[in-house]
Amino acid sequence: MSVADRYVGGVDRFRVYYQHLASLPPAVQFGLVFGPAMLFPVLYTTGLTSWQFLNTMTLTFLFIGLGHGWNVIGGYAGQISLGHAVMFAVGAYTTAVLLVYYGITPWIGIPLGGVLASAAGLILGGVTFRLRYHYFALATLAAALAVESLFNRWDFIGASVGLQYTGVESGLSSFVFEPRWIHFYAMWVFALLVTLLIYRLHHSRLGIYLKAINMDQELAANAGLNVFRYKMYAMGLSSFIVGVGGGLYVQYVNFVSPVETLDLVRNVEILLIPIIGGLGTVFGPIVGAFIYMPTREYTRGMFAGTLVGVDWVIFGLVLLLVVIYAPHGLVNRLRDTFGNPKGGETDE
Amino acid sequence: MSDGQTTDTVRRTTDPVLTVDNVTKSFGGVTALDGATLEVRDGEIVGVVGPNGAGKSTLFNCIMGVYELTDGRVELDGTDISSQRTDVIVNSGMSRTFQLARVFPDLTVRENMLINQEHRNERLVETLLSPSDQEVYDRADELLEFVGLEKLASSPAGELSTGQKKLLNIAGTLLSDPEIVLLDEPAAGVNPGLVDDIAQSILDLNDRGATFCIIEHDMDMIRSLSEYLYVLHNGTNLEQGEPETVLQKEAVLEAYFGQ
Repeated sequence: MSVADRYVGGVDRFRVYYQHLASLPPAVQFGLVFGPAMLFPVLYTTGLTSWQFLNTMTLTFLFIGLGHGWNVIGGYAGQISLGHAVMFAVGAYTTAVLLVYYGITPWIGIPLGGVLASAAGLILGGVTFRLRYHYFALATLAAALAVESLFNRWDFIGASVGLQYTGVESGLSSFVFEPRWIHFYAMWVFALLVTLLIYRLHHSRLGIYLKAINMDQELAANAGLNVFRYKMYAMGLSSFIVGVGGGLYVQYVNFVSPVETLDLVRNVEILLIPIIGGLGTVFGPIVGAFIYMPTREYTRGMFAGTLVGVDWVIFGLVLLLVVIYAPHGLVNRLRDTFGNPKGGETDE
Repeated sequence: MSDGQTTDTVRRTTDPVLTVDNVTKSFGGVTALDGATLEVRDGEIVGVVGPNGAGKSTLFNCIMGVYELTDGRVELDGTDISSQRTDVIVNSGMSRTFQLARVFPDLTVRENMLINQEHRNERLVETLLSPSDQEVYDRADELLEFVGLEKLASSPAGELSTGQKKLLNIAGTLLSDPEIVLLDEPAAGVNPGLVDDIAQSILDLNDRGATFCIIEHDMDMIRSLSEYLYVLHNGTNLEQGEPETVLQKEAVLEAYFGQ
């Protein structure tokens, strides 16, 4: 047997694995992602893994949710928003301000942050949805930069210094948990609920309508769809999810500032995750988050203080590989390579 | 009015569904439509012909709210719909196909059908939480079977041939049970075998009560389909009446052949 034969055998074996996985019921597929992850904090508390690992996984699960959130408007409806950090910040600041200034529990603050983020998204969408393609993207980016500049000067919310959780006691009502690994489960629940919601969306009428609007807006209107209304709906939903994520994040790090939430990088990383994984897919943001966040956290830790910026070089390299070898995202690449093009219907 | 000499031997007795009254559309200094007038009555198949650049597609775009009217009025069932948004017009009971078949390529044939379902009373939350009603599915499958695409229901629409896409478009327009369907050159770019299928589908659907207004260059097709014909030339009415009579007219021949 030649090496080439064995290679073909290897690919075929992957094909069998992949098709087996793809044919499993969705509940089992989600279980395979979320089930073992439940043990991550146990691995940490028993000393089998480092805090860095658990911290990375906590952020990974947060970003699964954020990636899904962006995917609703960017992947399904095809409106490339470069301003989603605004919604993240609105969620984070709402939660922090209510808790630190008024002692209002994040159990109220986080959902309220989601609602306000949704309102912010609708205002942004109402103004920018008249624009298309890169004009829309640039307008949302401009809005994000304007909001960053505003937050940097707004004394009530701490201007450029931000808000610290000094004096906030840990506990169930303050949503600040001690030990900190409990926050992993908050992110885990967030990621799971959002994943289930997106799965629902993917198979709903709304999912089909949004994909249609993405492909051909005029044709969608010609089918009787009020394009603006559905884009706004997608934007509201997307912003709500990202806003809730912002609230969960600030409860985890106990600190919020414009740099932390509104930096250009934040706008970009929210959308990199679904783009790496696969736009308009349920598993795209999951795969994307598992690639992006560990790369970011480990390279950042590795080069901190010595070779600042090298982490971005490495990440750029990863991104370049994805763009070259999986331009439509890894999930779609895997499906095209290993999925049976005929007969293997999974979406029925 | 001077435009459009009527050779009305056809008795048009049913109620008008679509009335286009003196519609004018200018793009900057160019006048694409200059007082075009047209009427389609319930249960009819009305043809619209004219040489290239006569303004036929512009007329459809004006009727469907793609372009804002410069002047004139469009009525659907007696209600003024001039320059309304396309989706509002569609939800009022008029749908339309395009000259170049247009589908959502990455959606399945069946999904392409389902997009066209009735959106008038759709609640946003419902679209997220519940799939399409079983009746809508059944009706979509029934229409797909009617145009012979039932075996391809689960294939991506992008894989269909031009003719099949046109059939899908026609079937799609009928899902919401519209008052009237505008077909923009249903036979253009379709292989000859399928042209007959399309023509037959239109006739069968008309027998079941569907009303059509058709732009077509294929003169044999328009003769066999339409019971009433409008000829447009330079954006205005040239002739109208029974197809056989109208197509013999000196002015029509001149407009088409320049002689």
